[in-house]
Amino acid sequence: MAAVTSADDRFAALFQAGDEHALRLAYERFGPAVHHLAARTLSSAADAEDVTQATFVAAWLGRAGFDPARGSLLGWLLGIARRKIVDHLRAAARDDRIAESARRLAFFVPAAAPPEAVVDRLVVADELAQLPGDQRRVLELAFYDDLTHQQIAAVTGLPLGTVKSHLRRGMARLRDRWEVDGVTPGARAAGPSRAR
Amino acid sequence: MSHLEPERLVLLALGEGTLDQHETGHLDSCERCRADMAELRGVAGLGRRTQPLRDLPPAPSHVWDRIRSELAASERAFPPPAVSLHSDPPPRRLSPPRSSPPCSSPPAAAPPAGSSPAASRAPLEWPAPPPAPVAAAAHPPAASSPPTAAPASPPSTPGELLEPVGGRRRGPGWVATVVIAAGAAVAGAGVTAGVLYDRGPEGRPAPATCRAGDPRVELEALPGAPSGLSGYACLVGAGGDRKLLVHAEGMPARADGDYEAWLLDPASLGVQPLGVLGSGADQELTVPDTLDLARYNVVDISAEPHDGNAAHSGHSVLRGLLP
Repeated sequence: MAAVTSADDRFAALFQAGDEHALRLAYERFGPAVHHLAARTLSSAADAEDVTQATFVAAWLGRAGFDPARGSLLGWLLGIARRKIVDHLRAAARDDRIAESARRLAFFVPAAAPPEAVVDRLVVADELAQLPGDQRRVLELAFYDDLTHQQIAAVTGLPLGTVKSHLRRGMARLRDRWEVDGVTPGARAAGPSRAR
Repeated sequence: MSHLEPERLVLLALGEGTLDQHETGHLDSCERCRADMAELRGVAGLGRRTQPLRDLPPAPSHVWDRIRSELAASERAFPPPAVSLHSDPPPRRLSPPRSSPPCSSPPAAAPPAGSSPAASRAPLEWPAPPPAPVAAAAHPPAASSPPTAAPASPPSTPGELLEPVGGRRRGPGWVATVVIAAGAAVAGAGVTAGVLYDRGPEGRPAPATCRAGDPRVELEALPGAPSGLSGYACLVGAGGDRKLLVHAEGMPARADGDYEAWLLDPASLGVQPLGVLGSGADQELTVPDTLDLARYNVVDISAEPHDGNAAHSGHSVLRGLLP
C-alpha cells in the first residue's frame, strides 16, 4: 500500500508484535484522532472518553487481527472506534436521561457529523500531514486559502508547472489513502482508473 | 478521444476554471474520467475540511491511565509507564523513549530521521505528552515490569521537569502552557486550574461571583471540548442591569483565539453575544436589557478563532440551560 509510510509500517509491526511501548506510542500518535472521532459523534464528553478507552483496549487485545496489508493502523483503530460508537449510540438510545440531555443540547452541538465522514476527514488529514513539504504546502494553499495554481505559484515562488504537478501528485496520494482507509471512498466502482 | 489531462482534472476538482464544451462532452461519454473527477472532487472536499484536524489536542491522559488499568486487570502484558515521555524533552519523532530498558529492539519504531520528507509538521511528530502523573507514581499496582524498568534518570526536581519543556517551545502553545502548568503544580506553587486560563496580566477589578442564593446553571462540557472543562453561571440583577456571572475552569489558553459567551434561543436559533471571556475563571457579563431570557435561555461558551468573523464559530465548549 503506497499510502502507508514505511515508518508507520514499522510501527504497526511493533504494535502487532506486542511491543510494550507500541501501545503508548499508538495512543499518542492516534489517540487524538480516535478521541476526536468519538467526541464529534457522541453527545457527551464522558461517552467520548469511554469509547476512546474501549477502542485502545480492544485494539491491544485484538492486535493479532490487525493486517497491515489491508490498511494503516490509524484506519484500523478508527474502524474499531466506529463500532464502539455505534454500540454506544444504541445504548444511549435506551437511556432516557441521555436522550433528554441530547434533546436539550441538540442545538448547535456539532455531533451531527456521521462517523463515516469524520473518519474520511481524519485519514485524509493524516495523509496530508505526511506529504512532502512542498506538496503539502501547495495543497494547503489550495484547500484552506482557496488559491488558484497561479496564485500559489506567486505566493510560493514555485514554477507553475511544479505547482500543478505537486497538486496532482498530492491529490493522488490523498485519494489513494482515502481508498485504503476511508469509509466511503468515491465512485471507485464506476471504473478501473488506478492508472495514472 | 483523448482523456482529460490529469492535471486539468485536478484543477477542475479543486474548483479552478470551468469545463469547456469539449471537456463537458468528454465527461458525458467517458466513465473513467467521470469517476476520476468525482473522486478528486471528493478528495478536495475532504481536504478543505481537514484544517481543524491538523493540530488535534492530545487524547486525555487520564483516559490513558484507564486504558492501562483495564489492561492490567485483563492481561499480564501491558506497556510499562512511559516515564521518559514526561521527563525527557518531548520526542520530536517516533523515537524510543530514552530511559526504557524493556524496549530492547531499538525502535524499530524509530524511523530514519530522513525517511519522511514531511518537514515542518512531521507526521511522526508525537504530540507533547499529556501532563501525566510523574513516572514513578504512575506504576500501576499490577505492573509486572522488570526491575530494570525503573527510569534511568528519574526527574529529581520539578525544575528538571520544567526545563526541557520550557526550553523547547514547540507545537501548539497551549500544550506547552499545560505542561508548564503541570510542572509548576509539582513545584508546589499552589497553582490551581485558574493558571490554565491565564492569558496575561490584567488589572481589572475582580468580577462578581455567584453567591450561595443565586440560581445557578451548571455548564456541561460539549463533545470536542478539551477534557477537564467545567463551569457554572448565574443570573443576577434585574431590568436593565442584568448580569450573567460565568465561572469556567480548565479552559486551555488559546494562542489563536478566545472564548466567548453567548445566549442562545433554541426555538428561533437566535444568538446573542455577551462578550469575550477575559483571563481569570470568573466573568461578569452584561445581558442586553431588551433580551427575552425566557427565549434566550441557553448559556453557551464557544471557542472563537481570531478570524475576523464575529459570528458564532459553531465550536461550543460549554453549555447550560437557564432555569
